[in-house]
Amino acid sequence: MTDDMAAIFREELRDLLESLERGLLDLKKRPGDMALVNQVFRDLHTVKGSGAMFGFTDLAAFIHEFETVFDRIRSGALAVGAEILRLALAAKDEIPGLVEGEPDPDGRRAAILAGLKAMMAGGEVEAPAAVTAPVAALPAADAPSRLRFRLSGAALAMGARPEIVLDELRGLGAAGIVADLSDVPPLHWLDVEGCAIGWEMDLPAGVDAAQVEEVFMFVDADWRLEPAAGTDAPVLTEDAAPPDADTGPVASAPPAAAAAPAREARQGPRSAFRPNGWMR
Amino acid sequence: MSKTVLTVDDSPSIRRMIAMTLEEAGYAVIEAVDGQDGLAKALAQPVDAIITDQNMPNLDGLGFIRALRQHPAGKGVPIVVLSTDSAEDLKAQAREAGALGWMVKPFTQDKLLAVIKKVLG
Repeated sequence: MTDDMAAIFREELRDLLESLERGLLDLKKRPGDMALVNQVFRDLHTVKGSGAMFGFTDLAAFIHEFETVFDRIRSGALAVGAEILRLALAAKDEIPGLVEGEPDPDGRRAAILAGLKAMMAGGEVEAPAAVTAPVAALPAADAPSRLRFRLSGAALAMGARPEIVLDELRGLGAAGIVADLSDVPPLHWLDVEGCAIGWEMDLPAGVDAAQVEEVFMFVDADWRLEPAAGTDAPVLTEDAAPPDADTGPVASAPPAAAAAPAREARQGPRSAFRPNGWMR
Repeated sequence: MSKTVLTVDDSPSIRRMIAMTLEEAGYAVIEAVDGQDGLAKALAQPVDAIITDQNMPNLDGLGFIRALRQHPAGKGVPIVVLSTDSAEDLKAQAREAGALGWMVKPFTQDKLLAVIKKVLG
């Protein structure tokens, strides 16, 4: 982060603190005003998000509980009351010190956070966090594989570009790329916003499902990775690769499919990937 | 000609960080302060990609995407949503609205460039 960026953030923070204080004081007079609650939430959200972006991680962590309380108020799980506003104003007063890295020898911040957590515990009971099953390690692709993919019906309208995908796959060593035109309808039935073409190609040994998933990160597509003819590796679909934690497509993934035996794939691909009609 | 990215965020520091990063990489950047401003700017001139915050006053990110996709000029433009939240329901809503991808805050300048390069080629 440059000094300029830090200065921009500090200037923005001054405005946000003024807005936050005004919002909290107005809530004392109008505790049921949801527009005020939303404004306080947005201010907190921006302080947290921008603070984290510019390296003020202690600030972002401190604001998290503060923001969560107002999110609960937004959802109706908590009501604005005198104690919440007292804690919120006290929390707001700690923000400049957190930005400047000032210590907290008296434990004021910890006491405020404990108070905010107690507020939440007194509201709606928090559901236990879902236990996520560990992602099984993917088998390394130590043999050539065959990739088939087809864009979803809305992918082009959402801005996906198949030529970028094909370029990235060529970068992984894709060869023998062929287009499947079997689903291209007569011209008068053609959906100009859809993509009726699918693609199939060979990928060299060493390219695994995680790399393919990376290629399709911003493309709403069905893809299928299977062993090249003569190999005996499992089939991997788009569901098999672990997602990137910080970026990704907005497509909601269907339930994970277990890797099917290679023989099943060789018996015949899904109807969407008919092997007829390929052209170079 | 350089490609143009519209960044929509109510945080001036986030907008500035995105703009500085992309401009240094050779992109032209247009800034908008919320969804309403973003909609007006996206319809006033062609843009190659859009990065939008979700939580904004006046019109939030999802509302902005839905409104933009109603216009012929707003179809086909890749949109990436910025959020501090990576909840699946938010992603599903963003997809339904017409977003191509999402990026969680905080993110690094390298990550931002990688995402834009991936979207624009």
